[in-house]
Amino acid sequence: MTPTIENWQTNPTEIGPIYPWVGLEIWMVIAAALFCLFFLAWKLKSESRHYDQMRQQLAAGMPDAKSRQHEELNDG
Amino acid sequence: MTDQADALNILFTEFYYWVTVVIMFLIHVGFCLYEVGVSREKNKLNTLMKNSMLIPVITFGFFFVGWWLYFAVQNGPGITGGLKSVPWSEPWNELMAPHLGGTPAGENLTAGDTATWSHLNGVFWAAFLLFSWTAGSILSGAVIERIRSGAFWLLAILVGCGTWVIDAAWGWSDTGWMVKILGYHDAYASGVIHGLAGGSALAILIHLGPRLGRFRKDGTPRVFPAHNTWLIVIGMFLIYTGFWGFYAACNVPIYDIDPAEGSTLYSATTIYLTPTTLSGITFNFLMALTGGLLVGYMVSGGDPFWTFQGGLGGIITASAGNDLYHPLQAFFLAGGGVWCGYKLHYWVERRFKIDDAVGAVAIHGYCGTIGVIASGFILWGYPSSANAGYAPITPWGQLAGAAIMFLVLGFLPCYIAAWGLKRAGVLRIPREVELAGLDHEILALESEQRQELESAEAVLVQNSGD
Repeated sequence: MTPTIENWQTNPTEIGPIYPWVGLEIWMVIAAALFCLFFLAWKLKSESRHYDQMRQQLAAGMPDAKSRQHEELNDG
Repeated sequence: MTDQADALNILFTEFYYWVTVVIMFLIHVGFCLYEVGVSREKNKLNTLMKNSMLIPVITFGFFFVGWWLYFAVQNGPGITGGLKSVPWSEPWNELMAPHLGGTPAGENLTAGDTATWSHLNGVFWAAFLLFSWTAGSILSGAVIERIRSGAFWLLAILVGCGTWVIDAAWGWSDTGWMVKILGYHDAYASGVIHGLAGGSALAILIHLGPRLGRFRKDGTPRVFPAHNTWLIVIGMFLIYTGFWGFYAACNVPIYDIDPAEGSTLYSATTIYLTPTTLSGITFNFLMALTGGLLVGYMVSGGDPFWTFQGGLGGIITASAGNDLYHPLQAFFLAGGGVWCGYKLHYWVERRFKIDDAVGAVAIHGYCGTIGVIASGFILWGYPSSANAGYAPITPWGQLAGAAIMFLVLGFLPCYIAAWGLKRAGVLRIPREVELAGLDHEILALESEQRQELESAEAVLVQNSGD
């Protein structure tokens, strides 16, 4: 693929974009947007799974007395 | 950039905003420290990550949507005109990347677009992006210790890339419809950021509910002692410091304010292109800080948390008109706003059982809204814009503007979004996890690692003794 800039010894006022792959911006935007949506979906799903596991472990390991103490605290 | 003065102006403006962005970064550092300091020991790492990861999630949203939205919807659309064509802000446009300002590669840009936006697009984008982070961070503090990070980030995207950007387009741009029709004036974003984010936080808190144990059976609130006061203090000072950068970023540093043809007079202007001076706003920033600190100290009986918050609330209250106020007007207004914000905070907390962990709704929402409304009286009759034919500043224009910021774009969208997240069961962490602490697993792991290390060290000491 031809680089956007091949020679800096030109009239600088005529130089526009200087990044590689000019013309493919829309595809980069789509790829990045999909990745970001994936990240948010992954976070929501993994967080729910994580908290479900943690809740089960805590419920199993919580002594009755401690549980009652928490109940009393949680009157709001 | 054929004219040398214009070229120098653009390069100076580029550097000016670049510096403001660096300074404004301290706002987010301050918010992170502050929130971690306020949270309890068992939640501090989760609190840190929830707010830190707001940076990437809002940034990508603002790159894709927010920046375009700011320019495109300034007319409503449908109120003073249609959707604007603003190609330089589209995420796939060549000006959303390094560009030397020469011949555009695409067909939808003019030579004038590339000459100007090649140097200013990135720094303007970043300045607005930092405001977006601030809007998200304001929500973050209010909801600590019980919101799920994923839900919080979705709400932060809604506010940071959506609602605040729309209100900025409407009321914080030189051609926004609220400026044109209502004469809305909010030079340093009392309502545009703080009022809106405060309203948003209040809506989320209603659905989220208080932290477990926050209220006694008789309805009176328990105090959750902060786990590190020094982090709070350092965080607040950093927020103050970043706020200087924010004030600078709200100005255009050099602009020809002379309306006469053929003559030029350069001055700093507000975002509405109305003249002000950096010197003048420095007076007002510091006098508003002073008024807020003094009243915060008095009304709270010397409580450090509310004294520092008072300084911030003072600046926020005076910000709507700090381009024009006398410093003593800023001082008294700041003090009055903080007094009202403090009283409202405790009244709302007791009356409606709203658990705002850091007083964000009070300091940002109430103080910002009070500041917008008050400026309508103090600046009554002033022109809201440098453009001819725009409505002047009035109490009713500011009142309507404050309602749009706090209620219509602040409270309402987040109320609906938080309701949806609550219905989906992804808004709040499970009760057992909240009681054990969000860092429960990490702290347990650290404890195991520490014990293992201590055992290993004990063996080494025993062997060396033998």
